[in-house]
Amino acid sequence: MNDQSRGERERWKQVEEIYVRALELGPDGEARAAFLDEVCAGDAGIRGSVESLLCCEPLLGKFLETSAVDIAAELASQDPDADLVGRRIGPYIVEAWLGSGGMGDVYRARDSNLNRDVALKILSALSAIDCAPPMGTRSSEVSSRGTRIARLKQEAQVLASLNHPNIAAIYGFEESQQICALVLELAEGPTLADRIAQGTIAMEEALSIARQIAEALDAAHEQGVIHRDLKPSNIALRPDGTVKVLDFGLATALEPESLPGQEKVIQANRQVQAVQSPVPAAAMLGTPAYVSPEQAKGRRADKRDDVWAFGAVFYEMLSGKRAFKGEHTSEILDSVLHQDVDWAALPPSTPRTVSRLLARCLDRDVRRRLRDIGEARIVLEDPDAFDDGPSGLAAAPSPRANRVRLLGLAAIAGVAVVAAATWLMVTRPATPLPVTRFINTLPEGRSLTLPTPRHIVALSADGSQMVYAANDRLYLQAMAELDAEPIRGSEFPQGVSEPVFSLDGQSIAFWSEADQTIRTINVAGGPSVIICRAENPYGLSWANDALVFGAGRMGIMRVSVNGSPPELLAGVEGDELAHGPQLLPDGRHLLFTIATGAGTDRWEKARVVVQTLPTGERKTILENARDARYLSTGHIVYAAHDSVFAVNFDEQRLEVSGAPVSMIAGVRRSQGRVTGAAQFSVSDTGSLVFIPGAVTFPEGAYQKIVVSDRTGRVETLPVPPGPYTELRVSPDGKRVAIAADDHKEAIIYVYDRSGATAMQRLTFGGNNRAPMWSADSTRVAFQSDRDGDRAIFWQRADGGDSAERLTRPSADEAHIPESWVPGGDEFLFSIAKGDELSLWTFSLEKKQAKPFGEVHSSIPPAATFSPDGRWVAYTSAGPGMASIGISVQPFPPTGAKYPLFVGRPAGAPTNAPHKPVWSPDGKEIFYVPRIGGFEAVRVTTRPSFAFGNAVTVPKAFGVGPPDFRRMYEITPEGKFLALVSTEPTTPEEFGTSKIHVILNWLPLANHR
Amino acid sequence: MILHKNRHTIKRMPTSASHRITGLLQAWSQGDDAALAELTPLVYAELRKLARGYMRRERRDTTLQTTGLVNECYLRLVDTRVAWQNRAHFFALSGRLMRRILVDFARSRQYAKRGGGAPHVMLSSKNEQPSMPEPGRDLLALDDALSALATVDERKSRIVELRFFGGFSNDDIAEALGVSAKTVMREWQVARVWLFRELTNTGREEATQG
Repeated sequence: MNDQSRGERERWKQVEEIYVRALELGPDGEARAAFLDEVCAGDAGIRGSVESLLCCEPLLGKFLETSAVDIAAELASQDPDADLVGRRIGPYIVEAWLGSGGMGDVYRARDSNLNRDVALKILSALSAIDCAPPMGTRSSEVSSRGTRIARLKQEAQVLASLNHPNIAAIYGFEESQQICALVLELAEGPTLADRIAQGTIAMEEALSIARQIAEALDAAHEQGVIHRDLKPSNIALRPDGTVKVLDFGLATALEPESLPGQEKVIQANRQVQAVQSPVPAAAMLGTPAYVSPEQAKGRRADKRDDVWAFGAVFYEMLSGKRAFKGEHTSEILDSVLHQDVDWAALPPSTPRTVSRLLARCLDRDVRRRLRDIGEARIVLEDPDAFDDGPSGLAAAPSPRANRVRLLGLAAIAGVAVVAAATWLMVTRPATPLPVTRFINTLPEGRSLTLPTPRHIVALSADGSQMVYAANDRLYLQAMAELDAEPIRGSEFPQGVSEPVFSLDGQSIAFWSEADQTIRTINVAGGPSVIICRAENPYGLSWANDALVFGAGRMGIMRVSVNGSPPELLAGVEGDELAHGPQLLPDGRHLLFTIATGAGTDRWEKARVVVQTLPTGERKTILENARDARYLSTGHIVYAAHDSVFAVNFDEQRLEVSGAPVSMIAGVRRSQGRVTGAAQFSVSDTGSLVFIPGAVTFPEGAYQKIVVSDRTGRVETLPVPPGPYTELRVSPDGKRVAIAADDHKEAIIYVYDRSGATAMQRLTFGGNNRAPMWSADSTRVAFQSDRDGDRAIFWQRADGGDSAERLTRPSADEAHIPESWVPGGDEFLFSIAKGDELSLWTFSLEKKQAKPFGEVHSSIPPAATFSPDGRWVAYTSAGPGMASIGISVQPFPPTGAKYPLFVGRPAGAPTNAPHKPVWSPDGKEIFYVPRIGGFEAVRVTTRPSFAFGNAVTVPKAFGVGPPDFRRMYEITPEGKFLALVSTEPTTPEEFGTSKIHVILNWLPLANHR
Repeated sequence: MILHKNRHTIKRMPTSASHRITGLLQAWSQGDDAALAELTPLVYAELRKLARGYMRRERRDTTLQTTGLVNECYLRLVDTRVAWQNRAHFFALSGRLMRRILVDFARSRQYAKRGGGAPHVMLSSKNEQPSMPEPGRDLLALDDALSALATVDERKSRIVELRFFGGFSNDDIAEALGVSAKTVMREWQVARVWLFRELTNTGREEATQG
């Protein structure tokens, strides 16, 4: 076998070689034949093999050029192998199978007329029996087909009139190709049944879900529609927290025998029969565990059945178990009729009002049951407001705690900061106020409409109001108020985006995706006014009584709010895309962003331009920038990469001046980078709001920055996760230099540990790595390749100057900062040349480098000074890592060397100590003794240098292998600053409930 | 050498030392079965996500690419407290895991098909190869063919594994296999031809007659 395969391999080698050479001869058949005659020398087998390869070569095409993942994804897109996927039913193109229900399969489909996704509920019973009678179907069934379809259509029309954000709408009824299907709003997400199965639902979430169900029922009851089959599996929970009640009225609509005017057939009776007769469960309508006692007894259903079902569902949400149980339908129905609800199963934190509400919903006496679901909705909006002490209701349990109230208080306290800060700004405008940052957290149940390619947050020009899009509507946050209010009339089924305030702050313009319209609405709510149709606008802003918006490939449009068709304000050419227009106050100049091409980085490379309208003359004011806003303070604030910058703007000369100031690192950007949108907004008064996002688009693991004490207790710094590689804390402990490398660009950031400012980007241009603080904590030295070599530069840590070169490596060298002498003007650096690194000192005074201590290593020395500056600890490894370990030498060097461990490590080289760092008191050295470990060893320096015993130190962070630079750091207070990998996080997974607010940032923009 | 043009600059080792780290990684990744078990559902979930993208208009804007998928899935497996990896080994293991996962996936889809007559999975983009002969071009057949290739030419089968299943670039593959990118490109072309012949039997008749 071995010989055989060896033979085959050798034979193949021959074949390959001949094939490659024959190929090089070009497609000339004769030349090839002659060549093969010669080299194959009669070996027909080899020749045949080569010829067959040559035969295949021109047929290859794109063979194997589509990756396996793409192919598998195409396979997956046919899941399961439903015949309907890919088929057209009326105007609907069936795209994917979503699930199977009692009535039949549900598919996601594309409505090609309205260009929206819908759910198609295939009515298999109707499709099989009524639409397309199979062989042997009785004629009576066939004859009823027309009647039933007609009735269904009628019912569908009534149900289609239900228009409520918590009701999954019924769009209509489709009958074609022998298939009958209901067309429904697509409500993707787990069902409440899935959620309950996963475990207890937190009280706040349960209340929010229940409130939304109640809202849906209330709206339907107003229209005279009863659900009749409310149950957890009919309630979809969208990821943004919105609840969608599915299948409204379908139980009624689909009931075969219930013709208009005829008494409805009692479904409970059928269910009881179902126990005895072999009717498949799927054929039953309604669900026994949620039917009311009067339904169970066979009375006609009305809206109080929904109230009962609501109570049963709500109870199950809170307690995690069904209110009425049984092994068979008959048992369940018996329980519905006779069993007492187990009130003790409700969690102790259930607000008293809620348990009372439940008891009223599940009252068997229909005359005493909650009469109107609207009452439940009102109670759930604010359970505390109705808590007037223990009630006389015997059935109601007495709750022991009130977590909801506590949470409410916490929320109020949080918002109070907003109010206080706003007050400060209004009452003391004369003196510069401190920059103030805080986070506005949306209440439970409300989540920002994310991810989205469009803006969803805006400040008014005077900074007194903020608007944001959440739960498919707009919320107005008066900055002086405690909570945001929903703007009535701004609810649209597929959500709204691009909200912008009019200059007087009285109106908001926004875009509704469902009907692709730009509308305006009063901040106080009310009906919205359609201004114009706009397909996928790229940014929107007011210009007096007009709106300007980006229209992508068309350019920038203007439309009067008084109604008149939009006009083209500034066109773009070829593959240019226009985004984010703003008309400057003089009305003659238009600021906007232009991206070119279709690459995903097109918005990274976009440019911000100002166009003079009368002449059409266009001037680029910023490169690699996007989404710019002009402020009356003379600044332009814009996004670049993942950061927001401010820069001075000269309106006369139409150019920016001075260095841009980094305001925020880590702003959320448009989903999929489709548009240039960055989620921030600024007011003319120095307020800025933004939604945080990833620092860079994820390509690999993200790191968060943590502070850990010696016991291993960890606290995460409020810095967005990023592709960080190492950290260095300033000697005064106040700031941290953070190196990040996303494999495209290596950047150094500076983070102020007091939290006074957000992380600031320090370096621009080239790849910048290996930060090192100067002894006085004012400057950061680093390696940069900005000039083509790999030299050491330094720069003021506040970004107040540009980087200055310190060393000049020769062509085959790279210089890497290591450690700065405490209190001195010298530092250690390593020179990498070939496979070897050596340690050197550099004197700032003499501008001179000299070798240090004969240290040569094949891995980074990771040298660190002792706090008194008299000792240097470092790692070294001999060629091939034959011996590796930590040593200490005096500074300046005397030739003495104190090895902690140097030798051939047992097993792998990573089982050797590396990456030493001194404790702040100089009495210990922390180091990595072996992979995964972390230890401290006592050191004494008098009378001579000696190591004491090593102890294990708990750690909860990565330290890296010997051949990486030191990633962790020790702070002057003796804590560890380190990196911890986060789960790979896409921007889409970042929080959807937090808006960061910065007040009075203007001084930041001017201080340099 | 330490600061060669590779993007990993400072923190990267000379190649000789990276070798040794491989040993450690191997200890960690003993048998890819454990890794496979963890990775499979993640990949499937990503595939479904991708698949949805396929069917929708935003396909054009999808930024998720194979390498991104592999990286993301794989990194979830790496001990989150240890922020390092040996790239070469990472590539190799990823390619192997992705091959197994994707082939298993294709297999499960075949079994799921009613009536057994599973359509073949095209190994090139649907619209670009209308003239390709139909038989024998699904992932399962490719998997077999690739195993056959490995018996005569191990490296070529690795290259296909890394590129086709792992989605890695020629440069990455070159790094993983310790050869030049040019070699990778050349061998990739030959491997394609070899596999194409294997899957289509093209030229076989001539071969036997000649």
